[in-house]
Amino acid sequence: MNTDNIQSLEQAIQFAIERETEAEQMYQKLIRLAEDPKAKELFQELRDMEAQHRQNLQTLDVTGFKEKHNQERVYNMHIADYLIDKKIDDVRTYQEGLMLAARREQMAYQYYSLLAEIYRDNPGLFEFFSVMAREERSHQNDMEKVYDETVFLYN
Amino acid sequence: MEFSLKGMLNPLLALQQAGKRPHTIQFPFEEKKVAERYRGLHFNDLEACIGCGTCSTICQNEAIDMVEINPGDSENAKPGDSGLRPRVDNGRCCWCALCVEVCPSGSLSLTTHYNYVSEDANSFLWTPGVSNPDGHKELSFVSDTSHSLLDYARVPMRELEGKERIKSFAEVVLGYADEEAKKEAARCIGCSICTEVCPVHMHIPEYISAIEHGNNEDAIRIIYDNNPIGETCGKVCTRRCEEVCPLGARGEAIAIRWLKRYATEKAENAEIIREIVNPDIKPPNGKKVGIIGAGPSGLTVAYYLALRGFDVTIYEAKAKAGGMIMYGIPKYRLPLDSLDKQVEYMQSVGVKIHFNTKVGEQISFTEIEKNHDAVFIGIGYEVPYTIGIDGENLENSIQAVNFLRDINADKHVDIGNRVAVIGGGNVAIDAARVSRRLGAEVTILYRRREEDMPADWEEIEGAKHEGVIIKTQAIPLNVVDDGSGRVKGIRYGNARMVTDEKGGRPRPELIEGDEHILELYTIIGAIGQEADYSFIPEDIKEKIGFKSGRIVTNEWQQTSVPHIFAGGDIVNRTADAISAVADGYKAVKGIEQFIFAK
Amino acid sequence: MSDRIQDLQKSLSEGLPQCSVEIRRHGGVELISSKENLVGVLAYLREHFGYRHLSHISCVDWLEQNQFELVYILWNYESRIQLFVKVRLARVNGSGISVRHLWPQADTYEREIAEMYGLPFDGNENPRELILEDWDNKPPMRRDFDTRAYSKEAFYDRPGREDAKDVRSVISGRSGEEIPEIAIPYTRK
Ligand SMILES: Cc1cc2nc3c(=O)[nH]c(=O)nc-3n(C[C@H](O)[C@H](O)[C@H](O)COP(=O)(O)OP(=O)(O)OC[C@H]3O[C@@H](n4cnc5c(N)ncnc54)[C@H](O)[C@@H]3O)c2cc1C
Ligand code: SF4
Ligand code: SF4
Repeated sequence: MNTDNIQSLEQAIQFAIERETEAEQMYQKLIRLAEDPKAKELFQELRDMEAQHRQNLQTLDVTGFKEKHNQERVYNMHIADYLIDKKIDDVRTYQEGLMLAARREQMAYQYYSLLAEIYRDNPGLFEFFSVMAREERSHQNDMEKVYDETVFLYN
Repeated sequence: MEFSLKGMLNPLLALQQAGKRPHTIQFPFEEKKVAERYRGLHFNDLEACIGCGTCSTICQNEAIDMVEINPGDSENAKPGDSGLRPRVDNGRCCWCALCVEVCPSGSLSLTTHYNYVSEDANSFLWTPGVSNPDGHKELSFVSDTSHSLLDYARVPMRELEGKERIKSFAEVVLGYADEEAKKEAARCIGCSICTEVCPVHMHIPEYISAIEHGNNEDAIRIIYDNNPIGETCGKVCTRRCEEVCPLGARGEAIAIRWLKRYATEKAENAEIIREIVNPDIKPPNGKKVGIIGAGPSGLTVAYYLALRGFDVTIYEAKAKAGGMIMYGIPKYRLPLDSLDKQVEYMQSVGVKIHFNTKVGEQISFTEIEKNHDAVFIGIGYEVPYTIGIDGENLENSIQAVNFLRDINADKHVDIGNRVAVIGGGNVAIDAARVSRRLGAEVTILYRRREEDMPADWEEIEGAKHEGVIIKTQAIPLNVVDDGSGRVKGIRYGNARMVTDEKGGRPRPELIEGDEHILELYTIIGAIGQEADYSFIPEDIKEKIGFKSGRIVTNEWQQTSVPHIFAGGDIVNRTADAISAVADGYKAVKGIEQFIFAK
Repeated sequence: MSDRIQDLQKSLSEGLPQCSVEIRRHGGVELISSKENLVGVLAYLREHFGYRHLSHISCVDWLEQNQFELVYILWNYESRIQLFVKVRLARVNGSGISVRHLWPQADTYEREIAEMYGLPFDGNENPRELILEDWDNKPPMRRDFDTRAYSKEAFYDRPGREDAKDVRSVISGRSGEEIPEIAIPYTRK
């Protein structure tokens, strides 16, 4: 579906569901590709998380998102900003998997933010994309925290 | 206020009575106020006391017992505390206050309070701090570290001077002379609190006492009881033991590491170690164990299994044994001949090592499995994390572990005259100090503050003395290209620290716009490492449990595949040599149990 | 205060050139005398420096050097500066000299030292027992007297102490450390 065609909340949700499904499939592929057991494990977790998102969207349960990330401080470590863009097929190690995931969540955030901006005049859509954007921002935050605690343990 | 002449004169009136015997006793009975330094009943600050029992040991009247105040206290206490507390039998106490003098924590004191007379004999059995929770209000005789029977100052270690050090890879620490070692050993109160936090539980107070008495050979025997690389640990151990030594509470902890170094260095070569330790080698039991990796964990497993009569073979990818203590730790901290001597000794008791044999290349894992009754994996963390930013693959952007490996293998590495090391752990410091020795100006870029650096503080100090510049709160953004594919410099931004509400370490947040460029010849990444498990067949990988990249084992280092054991950096979270030894030592028992229970 | 102490040190050094005079860590002055000069020095301090009060005589057993050291602690009511006069004596067959003629209370201190350290005082022969009764052991304040062995032998453990625990065994029990035979003689008792 093309973003230009989004007219209603239903369509917006449908759009988001597709994005989450793509992410799920991407992580599924990574699980197969990754040689490192640690990376495998990480991708499984991420896949399950995306699947959870999809289900939430399918049952139209965006309220759960709202509550969760309002409480937690979002850091701005800007780790993802400077990480190299990894292509799925390049990913072998745990670190590469983390890099990819951090970048993906960041891109998703930027994407939803942009959509929220575009639909500023449509209160329903604006609210929906803003919630999704914040959700993805908080994922980026989580990924950066994981990166900070594992790869950057000595840094 | 009304002026009172009587009040002014009163003290003088009382003075007239001085020296005269009183004929009456005040009723109700009032206790006399006693002298300031009066030695009355004990008080103990139960929070500060760590239950070292030194008070009880010193008491010449055997008046002090160490007891549990509540049942289970000794089992539930934190490491660094025995959970016991002193109880004084005042029927025996002579108030010499020796116990107060030797209390390292300063928790024990005497008070102005005394039991004049009592019909209940049990009131003389006194648990300081429990019997008088308010005792801190009436302290009289307290301990003072400035003049004490305990010696709170460490015998300083002699070192090469900073400028001298960077001229070569000569060992920096010069070691204790006999008298210095005895003097340092004599400071130990023998409490054994340290042994619990040592991952392998070395018998610390015992070998220290042997050193104090000049019996270095006994010290060596005690050290080799559960650590076959005691000399390595004597030089480079992360020494958690010293963090809990009670002398450190108000002074300097015993130099446990340097004392171990002193004793083990007394055995000058492998034959002398063999002669002194004179191990009891059991006759062959016909069981074979294969070990992958000759790092500290693998060597420990091999050594103790060989003593127990097992046929052990280590498969090692590299040309020399030792793992990261050979190819990681620089030679100015752990000289080659010291390590060679330790490995040679292990070979002399029957440890076989196949060098240049990488499992997965020269030999398959399956073949090792087939030929042995049990397998131990101790391959360490050798694959470096990359810095992960643009330009990381430019020429002369290298990895610390590879750099150190090459230098330790005597290879030439051209790092030029200006180097930046990225990271704040011991590996970063090692790479920086080695670079100084190769003549470069060195800057360490670290994302957090100096106090957050995981590196040992003495290493950080050492690096500074050698002229290494440490730039903190500096976040690398990208490596700058000189136009021909070589490193020209690094662009980094400054950060502010933000506390983690959940209690984690503070996180650096990039300050946007505050960016700088450091011109360089070489960039060395020292961010961290992970393991390469590619040699393990898929079906076994599926069965072995992994958690955050580490292999999951039970307390005997056994994986969920019963004949496969694992240890060292790929299992424990502490990632140092002594933890690897501890894993190896536990695996020995595990393997023995597993093989003989079959 | 410290000026006065320095003045005192100076005039004592001049007045008693045969002694070394030093200022102690916590205020107060320390003077070291030979045994021959001791009585003269004390009398001189008493008459010319206002040290009319003898607070105490204490004794130190320098076992390794085979000497006893007597410390005379004097007090001057006017200057309120404490003075320590020290003298070293042979530990074997040595003796002190009584100063009862200067300060009658010295009798008690000399009796105590004779009893507790076994150091006799010339001029205070056969003193009466002070604290110990029918003592037939080594004088108990000597450093080679084994107090622990004595108290073990002389006193029984009162009931109610059976729950005492050993720190070393608690720690090794908790960590699972097995202490080898070779180490046991070095374990703290
Ligand atoms: C630069 C640096 C400095 C350090 N400084 C200290 C310090 O000061 N104090 C301290 O306590 N610790 C220090 N450490 C950590 C310490 O060296 C490690 O924790 C310890 O060596 C881990 O031991 P290990 O047995 O797990 O494996 P390692 O020491 O990593 O050894 C693994 C061995 O397995 C071999 N191997 C790997 N894969 C295969 C294969 N497929 N086939 C055959 N062989 C294989 C490797 O060649 C290597 O010899 C330092 C580490 C580094 C990198
Ligand atoms: S010596 Fe001090 S710290 Fe040790 S047990 Fe006694 S009171 Fe506690
Ligand atoms: S080294 Fe410290 S903690 Fe260990 S036994 Fe000696 S005094 Fe106790």
